Amino acid sequence: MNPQNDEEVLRREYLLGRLSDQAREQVEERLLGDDDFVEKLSTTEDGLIDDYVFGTLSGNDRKSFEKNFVINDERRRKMQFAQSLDVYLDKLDGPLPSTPTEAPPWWETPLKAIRSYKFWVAVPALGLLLFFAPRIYRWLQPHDQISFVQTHRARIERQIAEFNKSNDQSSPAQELVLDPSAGLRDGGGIKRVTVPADIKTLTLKLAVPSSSEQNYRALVATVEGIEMFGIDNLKQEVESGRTFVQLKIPTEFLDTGDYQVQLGGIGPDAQLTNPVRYYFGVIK
Amino acid sequence: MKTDLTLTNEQFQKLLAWLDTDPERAGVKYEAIRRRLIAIFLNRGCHVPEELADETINRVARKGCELMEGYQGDPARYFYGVAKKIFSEHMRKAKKRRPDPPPMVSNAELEPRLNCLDECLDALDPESRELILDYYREQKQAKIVSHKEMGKKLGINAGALRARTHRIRAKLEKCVRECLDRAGESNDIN
Repeated sequence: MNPQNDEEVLRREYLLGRLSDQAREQVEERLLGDDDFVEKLSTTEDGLIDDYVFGTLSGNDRKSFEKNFVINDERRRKMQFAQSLDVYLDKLDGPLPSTPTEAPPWWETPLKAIRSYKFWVAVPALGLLLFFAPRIYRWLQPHDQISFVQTHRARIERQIAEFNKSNDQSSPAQELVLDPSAGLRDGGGIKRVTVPADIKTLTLKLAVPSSSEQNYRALVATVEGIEMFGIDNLKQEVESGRTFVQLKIPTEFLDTGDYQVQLGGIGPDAQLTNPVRYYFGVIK
Repeated sequence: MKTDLTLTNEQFQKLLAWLDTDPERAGVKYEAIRRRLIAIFLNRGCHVPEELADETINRVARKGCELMEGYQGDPARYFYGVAKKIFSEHMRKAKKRRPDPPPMVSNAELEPRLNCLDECLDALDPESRELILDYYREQKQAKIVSHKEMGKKLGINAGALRARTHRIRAKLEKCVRECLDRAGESNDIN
């Protein structure tokens, strides 16, 4: 949940341990004397925990959260509660658990469907689809589709490769540090980043074990495995004792959704050697 | 932090009388001050916030009559002054190294919690259950707009909606903890 106003920002900064001594003391004085503030601080605390668990905190906020916020058992218990809620909602997958109310009469379901705006959107959409189906079918013929996709992909790859080579730091960027994942959700879920409209670049810092690989290749795909593009000649860098491979992706190529990156060295047959996988999500 | 936690009954009663002449209200004020001192120490990064809050209270109580008769203003502010001093002493003694953040627990480990959560959601009234599930569904997607729409539907603003879900969530959390205790599941953090 993004902060709604300055007060909320102040409370979040306080909880993340990022206020100056003077500002912190002002907050603490309010905390001692203002019941309403105490209640709101507690609500903000829940919001932060949820954002961390649901993967919607930005990279810097996550670091501050881990360093300054999750430092006692009570907060850890709250985190586990939020995690349960997260998994519960995933399992629920849409419909709410059945409510112990009387079953509606049989005619309610079709009537409800007709009353829904979705019905009135769906009917003309279906008509249009039937009308255009033969043309769409022709357009989707394999030879056209493959050549179009290949050309498009090659163009994107060229653009991203140049972008990564150029070291241009003028456009606003957002950074996301990713560790290799043992498997989807095994590492505690996908890290998701909210990308505001003014951010033009998402910089992924992919943590790798220090190795002798000279060049890396990254394959970016949707979380379902649909390959989007591949970038070669990425180099490793060492920062604060950790080794990273940095991959810059223009945000115009990333819609809201979950993605995976496969990173590895480049073998003689252009196959990835020692590939490792990373997951991330984008929210626009 | 090595502290002297002894406090006589007389000192404690004097402290309560200083907070309020009515014993019941004094007890409420005492609890509120203690809770808030814990929050302050916690948000300053202390790993033993309860210990430091109790030390603050004890130190104030031991000041005795001289302080309580001569001090003008809200007692909470005096507690705060002492708390800052105790924090400085603590920081001088405390080790710098902070523990690593806890790992997220696996889904299998969450299973008993999920059962309890299901049970506790069922125990909520249908309106509250629907509200909290919808709210968090949207929050998972970071859909602030949807929260505003939800608030509009209920005739309240986004802040009031958050406060309402916060209260339901607190109730739910308490219910899950009690359920885990009943089931003999550890609620401890590894």
